Amino acid sequence: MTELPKVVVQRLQTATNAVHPDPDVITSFVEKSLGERERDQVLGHLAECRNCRELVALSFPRHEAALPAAASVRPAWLAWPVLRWGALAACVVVVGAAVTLHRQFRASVPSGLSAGRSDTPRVAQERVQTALRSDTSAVEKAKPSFLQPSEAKQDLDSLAKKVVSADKESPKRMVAAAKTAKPPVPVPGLRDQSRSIPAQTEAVEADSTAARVNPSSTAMDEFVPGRAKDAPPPSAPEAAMAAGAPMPAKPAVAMAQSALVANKRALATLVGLPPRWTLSADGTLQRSFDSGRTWETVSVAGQASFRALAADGLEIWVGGPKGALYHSSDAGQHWTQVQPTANGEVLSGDIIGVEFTDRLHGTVTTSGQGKWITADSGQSWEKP
Amino acid sequence: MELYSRSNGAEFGLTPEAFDQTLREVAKKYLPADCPHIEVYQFWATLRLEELALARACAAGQERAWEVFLTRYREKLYDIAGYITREASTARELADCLYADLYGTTLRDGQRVSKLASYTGRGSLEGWLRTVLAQEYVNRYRRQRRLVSLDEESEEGVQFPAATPEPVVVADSRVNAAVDEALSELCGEDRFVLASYYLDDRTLAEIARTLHVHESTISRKLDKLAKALRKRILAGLRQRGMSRQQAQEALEVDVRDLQVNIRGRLMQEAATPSFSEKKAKAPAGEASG
Repeated sequence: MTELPKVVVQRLQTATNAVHPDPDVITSFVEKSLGERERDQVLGHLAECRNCRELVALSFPRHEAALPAAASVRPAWLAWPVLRWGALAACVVVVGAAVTLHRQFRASVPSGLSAGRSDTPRVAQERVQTALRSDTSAVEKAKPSFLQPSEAKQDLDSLAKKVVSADKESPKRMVAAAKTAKPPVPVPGLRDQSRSIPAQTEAVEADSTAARVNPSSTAMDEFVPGRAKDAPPPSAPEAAMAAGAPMPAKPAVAMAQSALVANKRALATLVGLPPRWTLSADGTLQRSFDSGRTWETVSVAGQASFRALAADGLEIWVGGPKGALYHSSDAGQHWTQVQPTANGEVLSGDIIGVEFTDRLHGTVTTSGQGKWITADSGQSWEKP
Repeated sequence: MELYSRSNGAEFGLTPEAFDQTLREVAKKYLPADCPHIEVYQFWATLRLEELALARACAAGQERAWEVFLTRYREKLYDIAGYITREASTARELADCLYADLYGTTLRDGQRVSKLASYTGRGSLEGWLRTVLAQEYVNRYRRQRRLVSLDEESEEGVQFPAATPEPVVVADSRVNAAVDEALSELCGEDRFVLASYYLDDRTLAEIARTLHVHESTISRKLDKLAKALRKRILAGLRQRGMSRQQAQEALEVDVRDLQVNIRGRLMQEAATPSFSEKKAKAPAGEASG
């Protein structure tokens, strides 16, 4: 930071004899509910009064309380403990599988790729038939079975351990571990999660990379990374096909890497941490998934300049000049323009404040000190 | 009447007349006497009417209002006190003291005076309680600091009294004038940012939170302000007859710093035990230098 000459610092220390603002005004200043003129007056006083600066600093609510109540507003499905743990295990599996696949791919690219690419579809079909004949019992095991959620969790946990520990094991041991694993587990809730959060979809699919390794893979000569990833859904014949069908390894690794990139976002969402939001100096909306280390600009319907922001979990409201008010209920993936109207009057002034105490109840303040209140997440508005 | 119904005053035992009187008091405090009626009404509409009615009903001693107040704010008040003092026993003491003030222990004309009667509803009641607690804490802290005994100072390691205040040295008046002029050209917010950072040692995050902006904005603003100030002061000094080099030297080398150093150096030398010891140490010092 640029240093100020000492003489400037000393001249800043001019004491003020002006009347101190009362606690009500200080509170309004802290809560950002003062008008522009009064705010400037208070700031002018604060610039000269060390006592009042100290008072203002102490009057701010603690930082955690000021942040959006992330923990209190979570999607309903995540409140189910089994799924929560399942989702966490899925993340572990994703990371472990991606790392393992990447290393395995590096270690076995020459043999694996040459073997895989030399197979023609006909040869592959023969290998499938051989696999079907030689290990029908394994194929039987590959039929989808719907497990209870608790079993699903155990299954995911065991898979996670195996995949992570396989990092240190040889490829053959990896294949052996995959053989003993149960067939893919279609957990309805988990599928719902993947539908509800796009970023998570990749993570769940990458998770299947480990889960879809076929038990009937005794016919596999070598472990080809990415083969299981690209395997079709787990019906028995198709699973057997996946065991023998040659698959290019490169796309699988690329997908695993993209899953890793998406994983950061998915992890943040899974553990209930919504992104952090801010408005830049020029009014651009920005979002951070890593606690503010990096920020990405979020485009909102071509609108470039905003003045007010309210974030509550995945619910985001932004307001700007000429009544521009936008709402997103999916952490900024999609935006809807909201046009508050009350008693035939349409909000058209500059929005300078947006406050939402929960998902439904909020207040929009305009530069003319007008207030618009909603109690149903912006469906209807009231002007006091 | 509409405002009264919005305030739930009846539920707290506050009469419409008392509520009307309260609103008039608040308007009188913050608005000019000749303010148009429509603006007065708009101002009232921005108030926290329900919390205002609750506070005034408590101040009037309504039991129902106190029940609601304690249910809503009792725990919060202790939490806030804990956050401000960061020490459990002090927090409890502070919160209890404020409770006494809120309930009203002092008498004026035989009437109990509650601190809640001064709440005007401009901010939230919780925020107001936080501010009042912080104010009480700051006042108490200062009072206690003034009353620290010599024994306590000694225990804390403050065994030597502070040096006498530095004598006011009259620097070049042109420097002061140029600096004052440059500072006066800044808006209140800019001066607040400078004072918070350079005088109070507040972090960028703390200042940013106060102004409801991102800390990178404050960082940029500080850099920009410091550079602009320097430029403006240099220009002011040149306008006052200094050459460019003189102006830069006047700004870089503060005469008072030299005075303090000389004074400190002189004091050190005065405290040196004896000339012979100093002489004995001299060769070593010269060798190292």
